[in-house]
Amino acid sequence: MIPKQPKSNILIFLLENSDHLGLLKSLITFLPGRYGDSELFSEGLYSVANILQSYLDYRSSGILLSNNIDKISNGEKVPPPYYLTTLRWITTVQSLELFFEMLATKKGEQHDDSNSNNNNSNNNIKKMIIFIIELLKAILRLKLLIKTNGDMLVHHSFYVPSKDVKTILENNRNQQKQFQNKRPAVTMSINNNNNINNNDNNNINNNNNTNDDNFNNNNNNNNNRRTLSDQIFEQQRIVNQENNLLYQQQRELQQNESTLIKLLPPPPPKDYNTKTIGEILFIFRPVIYWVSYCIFGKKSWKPWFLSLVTELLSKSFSEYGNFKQKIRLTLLEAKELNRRKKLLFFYLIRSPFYEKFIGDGLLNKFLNFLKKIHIFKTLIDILINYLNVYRTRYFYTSAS
Amino acid sequence: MENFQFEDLSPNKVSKVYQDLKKFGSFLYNHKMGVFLVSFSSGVAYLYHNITQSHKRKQIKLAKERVMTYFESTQKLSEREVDAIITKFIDENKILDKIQTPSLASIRSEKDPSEKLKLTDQLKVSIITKLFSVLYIIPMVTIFNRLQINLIGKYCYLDYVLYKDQEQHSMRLINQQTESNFINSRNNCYFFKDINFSQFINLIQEQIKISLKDWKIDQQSSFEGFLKLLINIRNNFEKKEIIASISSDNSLLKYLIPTEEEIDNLVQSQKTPENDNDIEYQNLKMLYNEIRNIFESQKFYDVLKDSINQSFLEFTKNLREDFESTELKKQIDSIVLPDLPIEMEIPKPLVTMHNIILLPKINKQIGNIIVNKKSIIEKIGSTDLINQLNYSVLTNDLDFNKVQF
Repeated sequence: MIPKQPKSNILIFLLENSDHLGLLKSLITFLPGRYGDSELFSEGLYSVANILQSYLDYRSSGILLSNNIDKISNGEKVPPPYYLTTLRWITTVQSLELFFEMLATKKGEQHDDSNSNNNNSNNNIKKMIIFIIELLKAILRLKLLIKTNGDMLVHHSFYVPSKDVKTILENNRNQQKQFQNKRPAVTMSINNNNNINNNDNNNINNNNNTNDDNFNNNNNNNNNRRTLSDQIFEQQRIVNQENNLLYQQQRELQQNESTLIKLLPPPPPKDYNTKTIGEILFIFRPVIYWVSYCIFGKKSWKPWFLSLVTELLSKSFSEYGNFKQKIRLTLLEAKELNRRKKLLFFYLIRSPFYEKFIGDGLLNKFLNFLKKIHIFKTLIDILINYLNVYRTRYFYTSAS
Repeated sequence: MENFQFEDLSPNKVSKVYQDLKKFGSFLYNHKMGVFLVSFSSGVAYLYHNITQSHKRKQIKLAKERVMTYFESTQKLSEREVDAIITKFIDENKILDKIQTPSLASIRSEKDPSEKLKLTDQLKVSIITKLFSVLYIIPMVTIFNRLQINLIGKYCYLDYVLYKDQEQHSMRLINQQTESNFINSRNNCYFFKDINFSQFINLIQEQIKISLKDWKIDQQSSFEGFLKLLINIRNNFEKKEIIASISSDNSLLKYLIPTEEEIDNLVQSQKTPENDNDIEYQNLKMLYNEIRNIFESQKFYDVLKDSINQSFLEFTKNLREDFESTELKKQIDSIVLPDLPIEMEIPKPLVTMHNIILLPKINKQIGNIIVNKKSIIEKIGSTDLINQLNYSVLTNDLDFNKVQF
């Protein structure tokens, strides 16, 4: 469902200046005691800012989609309409999850101070809260998976730069003023900018007979001697240019059509079975990790391995169709898989890997060495503090 | 290396090793879940890696093998073709007879001293010209034919070889007519065309005339002295700025291919106002342009130099035997060998000889080289340099990892 067009002036003002919220969020990050005494309070503020930001982004996406634009100015795709509602809830949960974790921890610590026997039950509250949050996110994502007909979940946020929204809203205002029915020209300029990252269409196979012929360019006298390699390269360049032009024309044509943005999801992918299994594993990976973490404890390798195995299995299933059945991944799917691959780095700072190999090992030695240099000492202390804080909270490193 | 000592395997040490192994076994048993998870995750990681990479690696490997098989077979084909070309033009058509050589009998019968001198000069020049012609023709034709075959391979067959099992219809970038016009064969060899080959011979002859000015026929020559003479003459042809510069007047390579003007004329002659049917000649022109570019490259110069060295080495190795003195060797052996504590082969001593005796021997060696040309062609063809150059011409330095299968 596409959200309604904003009418309130305050909302319009906020939408047109939503990027400044990022500045506010950065300021909150550096509040005194952000990771110390006032951690809960500042995290609360941060969560509120995040919720506001995600709400504004949700509305901004709605504005873009209702104006028939599915890409923001930096080339990123706006989630399609059938994503928006569920994704809004997921991002809301994500905005609040850290706050709730901290709240549960703080409550636990207060109880610890008054009655140390209640330690376990308080710890259990924290575990239960995290479990509920992870389960809630998994259920929401599962719902999204059903909505997308088993397609890979490629959208995880709906960030829209405020300048894009501002341009559209201004145009709409101008249109109203001038009573014009034509499509706004500025919108087109945004769309035209989007074509920059459409170069994936240019991967014409030019492995052989390419321009890197050693014998063509190594002699100054040769420049005027035209060879067959030169001709082929030139032809390929022309074909590439023509394809590009054709692609751009198609894009422009599509963008001029009012029915471009699909309100309904596409049919199930050809590799439906494997892709769905991959997605389900990806969705439930954090739940599996957290449950096993609660069962086996922080020092056990089992949760770490279970999570990694689930992650790798998910990736294998998701890419199975591509490698075995030659079903090509879309650009968004490839990007998403790449994003997931990058998230694997979190395994380096999760327990017990971090303690075993990084924390007390290499990193500590390296940082201690750097601390000997006077200028770095304060910086290193801050960095170590940040690292320790990041590792004490599950959601900082959960990548869920 | 330290010597192995049995003390190292004393019972205490054996039992310690046994204990350690036992500890390790119990460690594995106590952490069986961990071991299972590690092996399971490694298995999954391996499978994942296999699924993603093995197919492409296999395709790359197969493609490389196919290209290499094609390359090797075409190089062999080229060797046979070069052998056939040289046999036809030198053995059968006696093309070297263009170099007029006076016979020793005619020199002896000549009474006029100035005429006699002129004839002897002509004899030495013609024999050395023949020698240089043969020693240059073999490597030049070999390398050139290879280049031609590999350029044709690049434009006509590489795609087919690469994607053999991909059911892709590869397209020839040049047609068969252009291919047969371009490739030298025993029936169509530009190099051995009358006027062109005469010019090639003249160029060598003129240079040799100058170089042999002080090399009198009644003088004596040592083997080393003759080698120096060969090097001096070779320097006149083989300097990079001369041989690799196709526009240079003294470049021998320019006789291998038609000049740019000749090609332009050919293209123009095929073009008619009604019909623009000169595409195959345009392609031919571009192929020759590519050959010119290769001729001027450093890689080619290295290959050419190496190949010419191979043919000269074959000749000098055989000529050395003519300078060896068996009698002198026997004398030395009888004096030296009985006193030597161990058996050893003393190289045969070399003697000097009159140039009038040397020249017929050189002439005989030229005949030997022509007879044994196949082995020289094979030697040239088997060097790494020539294979590297031609492989890079065929594949255009293709990065197999980037090929889309």
